[in-house]
Amino acid sequence: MKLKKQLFPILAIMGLLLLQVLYACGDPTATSVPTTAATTAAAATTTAAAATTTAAAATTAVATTAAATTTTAAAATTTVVATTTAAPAVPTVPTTVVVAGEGCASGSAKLTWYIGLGAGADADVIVKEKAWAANFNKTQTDACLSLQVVHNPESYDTLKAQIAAGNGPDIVGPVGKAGRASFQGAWADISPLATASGFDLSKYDPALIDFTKDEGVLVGIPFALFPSMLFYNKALFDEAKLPYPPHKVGEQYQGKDWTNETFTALAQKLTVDAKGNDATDPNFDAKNIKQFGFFEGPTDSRGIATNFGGGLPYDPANPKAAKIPDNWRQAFTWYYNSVWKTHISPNDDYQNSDLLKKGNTFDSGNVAMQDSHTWYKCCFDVKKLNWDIAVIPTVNGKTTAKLHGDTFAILKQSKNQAAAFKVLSKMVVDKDLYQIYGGMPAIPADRAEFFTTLNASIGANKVDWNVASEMLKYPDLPNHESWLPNIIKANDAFAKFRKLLDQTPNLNIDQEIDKLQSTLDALFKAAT
Amino acid sequence: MAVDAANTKFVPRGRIGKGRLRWGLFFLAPWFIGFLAFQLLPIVFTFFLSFTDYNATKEFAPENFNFVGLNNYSRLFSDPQLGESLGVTLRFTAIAVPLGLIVPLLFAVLVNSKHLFAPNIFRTLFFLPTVIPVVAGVLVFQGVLNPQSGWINLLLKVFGLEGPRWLSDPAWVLPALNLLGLWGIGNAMLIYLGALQSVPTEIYEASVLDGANAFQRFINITIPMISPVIFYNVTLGVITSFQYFVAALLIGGRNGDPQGATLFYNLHFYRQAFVFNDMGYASVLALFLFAIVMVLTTFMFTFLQRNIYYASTDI
Amino acid sequence: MATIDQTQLAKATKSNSKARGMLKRDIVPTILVTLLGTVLMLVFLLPLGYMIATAFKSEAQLSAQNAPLYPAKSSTFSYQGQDLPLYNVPTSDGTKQWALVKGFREDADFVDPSNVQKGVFNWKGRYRTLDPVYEFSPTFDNFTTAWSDVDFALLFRNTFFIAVISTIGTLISCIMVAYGFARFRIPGKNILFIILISTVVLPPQATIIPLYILFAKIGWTGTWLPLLVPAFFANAYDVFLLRQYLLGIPKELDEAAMVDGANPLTTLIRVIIPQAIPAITAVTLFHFFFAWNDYFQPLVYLAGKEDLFPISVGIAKFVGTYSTHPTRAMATAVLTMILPALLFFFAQRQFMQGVVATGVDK
Repeated sequence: MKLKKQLFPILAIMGLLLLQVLYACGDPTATSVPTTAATTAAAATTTAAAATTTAAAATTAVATTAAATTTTAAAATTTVVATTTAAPAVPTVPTTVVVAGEGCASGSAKLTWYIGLGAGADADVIVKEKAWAANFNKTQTDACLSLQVVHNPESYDTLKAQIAAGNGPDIVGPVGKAGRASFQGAWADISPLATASGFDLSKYDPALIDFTKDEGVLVGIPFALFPSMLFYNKALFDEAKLPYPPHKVGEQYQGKDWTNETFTALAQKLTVDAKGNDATDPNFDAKNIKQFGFFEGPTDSRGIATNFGGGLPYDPANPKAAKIPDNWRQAFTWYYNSVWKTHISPNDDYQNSDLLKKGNTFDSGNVAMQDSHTWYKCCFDVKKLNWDIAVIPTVNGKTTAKLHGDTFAILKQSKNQAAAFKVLSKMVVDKDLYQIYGGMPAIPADRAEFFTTLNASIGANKVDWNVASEMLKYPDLPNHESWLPNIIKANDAFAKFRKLLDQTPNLNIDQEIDKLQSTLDALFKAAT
Repeated sequence: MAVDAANTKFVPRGRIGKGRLRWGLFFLAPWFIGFLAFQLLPIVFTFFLSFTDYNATKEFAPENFNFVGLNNYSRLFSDPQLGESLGVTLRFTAIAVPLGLIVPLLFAVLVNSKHLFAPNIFRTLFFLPTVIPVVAGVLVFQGVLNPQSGWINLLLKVFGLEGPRWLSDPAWVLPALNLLGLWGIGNAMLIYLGALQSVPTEIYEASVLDGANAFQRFINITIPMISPVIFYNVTLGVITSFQYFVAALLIGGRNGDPQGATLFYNLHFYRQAFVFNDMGYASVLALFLFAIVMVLTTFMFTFLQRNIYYASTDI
Repeated sequence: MATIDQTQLAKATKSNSKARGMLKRDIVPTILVTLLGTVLMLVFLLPLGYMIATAFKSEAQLSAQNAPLYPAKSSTFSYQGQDLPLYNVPTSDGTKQWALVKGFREDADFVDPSNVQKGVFNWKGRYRTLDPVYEFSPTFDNFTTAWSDVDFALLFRNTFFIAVISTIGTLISCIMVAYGFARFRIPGKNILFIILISTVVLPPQATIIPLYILFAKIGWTGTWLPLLVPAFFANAYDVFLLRQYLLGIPKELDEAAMVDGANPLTTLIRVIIPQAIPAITAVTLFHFFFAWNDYFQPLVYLAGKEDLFPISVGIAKFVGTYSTHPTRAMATAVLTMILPALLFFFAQRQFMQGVVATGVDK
């Protein structure tokens, strides 16, 4: 019949798909939930109540299969054994469920650790974090951590949905001030928790405790410090037959003080076009640059500004009136010129080109110097590149190295804050976590060991970590992520401004800074 | 509307009418249930939120928000970015809808041509970009459109032209997004292809005998015969253009860079809801978009649909 | 073969001599149309070319100067245990291929592979402007790294499962609802239909919080249920498409079946569905690929449940925020594309032949 002929292809393909499904069903861990779900849904027992029961049933099914696959084969029924052995062709990967609850002590508090707002959601790091959590769960019986690693760009939205539904995680981090600001008011006050568990906060530098406060509320225990410095590519200096930049504050470079002017001139010599002309050459072709002298690492324009000295974009006596400090104006102007006039910094198009590996700038090998924090060791091939670190040049006679201090925080809505605090107090002094996130321990005594271990992971490179310790003495105060009135919108304006500088040639920079100031002014005035 | 003539012809109308109504409701049942379970809730929720000052950093519970009356609605009138974002969306839509109508139709005609050698391969390759996840697709376009290393500008250079700074120039970023949109026309092409193939061949044969040329046949037979799916593509094209968001977010970031040129209406909504945590006003924006698109859709259903040829006239 | 139109064949059998003439006459348009298609395709697939070329490049080549656009590696010469890159150097005796020992801005140290005894010598000039010697050499490293870093078997299985189940649900429910809208007189049907369309108007970002709250309250978060169950309750896109198509099917066909005593359900199955195969194919494919690529929903609902991730979420970690690996990202994208592409190729072959055949029979 004609009809049959027409239906055949559909049926054939459907059959094929179903076969695949059956094949997939052979693996018990992956598919037990959906099978039950599908059958119910297909049977169209449509009320939500019925579906909920299924969900419950499905969870039990998972629990049973998990138990069956782990160890106690004796307890498992013969049918389960049969299905497990019947599907040897399907490669099962039991280790993906590292910390889903099995292996935890029965009385332990179940805690969720949410990662993604800051560092920690990149492929290489996730592996280490998982291993750390698995090990943590094995070594103590008070708490049982399960990880939620969410890809950074979507992690904010996901956490907001979870908070709205009241099933947010317990511990969140690492997260910095800017990240925390997006969840204003969602963080638990750590001080009473510390008092209740007898944790001594006085062993930390009061300035550091202050740094970990958001709007006067202590939202974490100081964990690690991430000073910024210049990462430089030694091979590119060698090629230009130029000496390496200073490793100590006050050291000269080629007989000149290590000022921002000296630095700019050096960076110009390290900026090269396709014909091999450097940026000081009159024939230099800015449309065909092949190597850049400098890149200001990922930060918003406030980060660029505080390189020229910490500060606040308003009059401290009157936080409702925006005022961009003069040194910030200088910083914006210098940075804008570094992109479009001296050409030492890549513009947005260059940053995203293949030449600079679509934003993985320093790793491309085509950037001579990059201003970044210690955590940046996460993000380039620390073994392959021939690199070292140098101090930030002085501006108006002063050195400023902007500082990050990411830590872990506890959500207010966590139902188990006391247990979460206990875990937190162990995390912030954990040697492995310092390594994973590349942060200098907040407790000075732990730093020497931190650098020794770090050196083992960077191949043949001999990196002068004294530079990092030295830079820690020159933090940007007030910090470039510090509190502002209407902070989320103000941070948004600063982020936008950096893009404007990176993307737009021929700007009247003074006018643009004035515009930024009036935008901020409106935001500050609208602050409640 | 025409009386259901077919039925009256054979059976007394009253009984079968009731029976058919019951059948009709039976067939619509999945949607009714799904609507109540999954779709009505978000709409009611959004409506509810629009009268509150709920902030997305707290659990959604009565103690965590206040009712603010129509405050959020009055903010519509003092929001400078509302007009800006509507402008971006309209400018994009004005190009995206005609482009999304014509180009896939031409592609469908091409791959439906009896003169095309190996049409299976052509169909597959034209469809291929549609199966690429949007995140990867954007990554590809960022690469191809890069003024320094992208193949498009390198190709233009061969002809001695200097290509634009596609994604960082406010004047070029919308055309770039339209190009990206063209890459995913596989679905529309397939819909047209299906429609083209169901046009009965004898109609063409008759008109060939009448001496109509290929172009006349296309205009006078093909277009009317496939008008239902043209209507579908236009309606959905308008709706999805107004909702355009993900690719813009991936390319222009949360700020609508460069210089607000990619601040689509939905990005404006997203910023209020998820960047600034202002769920109350965001809900007003969502409802406002809802209202605009509903008016447009109703308009299209009322006026455009008159010109559609349906073989079964009962609509 | 689908390349030869069925009607042409039918006519061709009528008269052999006439057929031969027609086929000959067809060659010119075939060449022209195919040529046009090829040119269009080349332009259209330029980004795809970039994607595939990048996937087969080494990271070093991607950011190297003067590297070709195709995947290649620089030719090297082994000197004292080191692999040195070869450059075409213009000299007074024509262009020579020398191996670069160390490059500087205005001079460089080379060895001459054809005269190794001469040892390392200095050359005045800018080596950066020289033409490096490259040979075509695609690398599979990106694929093997991606494959070993991601549990593709698990991700494919999860994705496949989600896509298949939700596609089946969509097909059943959407065909029913579309049939309801296309063929039955229901009071207020037009308003109901506009309400149906309106359900897609609210942006997905607006619905995610209420839906997440709903699914969290009934305990569905962390399972596939939020991705699967709604598929069984029809969606506006597919209902609309099917309805448009069903309205284009002459009513006489189902009326004839009704006269034979079939109820609406059997009419749907025996008459309407076979007529609507192109649209059903389209819906099947669209929904399958939609489910295959759906990213935000599974990401939000499955946070922390790595063993349940579909492929779109599983590979996201390769598009790092601070450490991008463009070549690896492209390789991953190519890997995720292969299976849907093959599926489409075979599906469209099956279905399109079926459709062409109906055209002839009518």
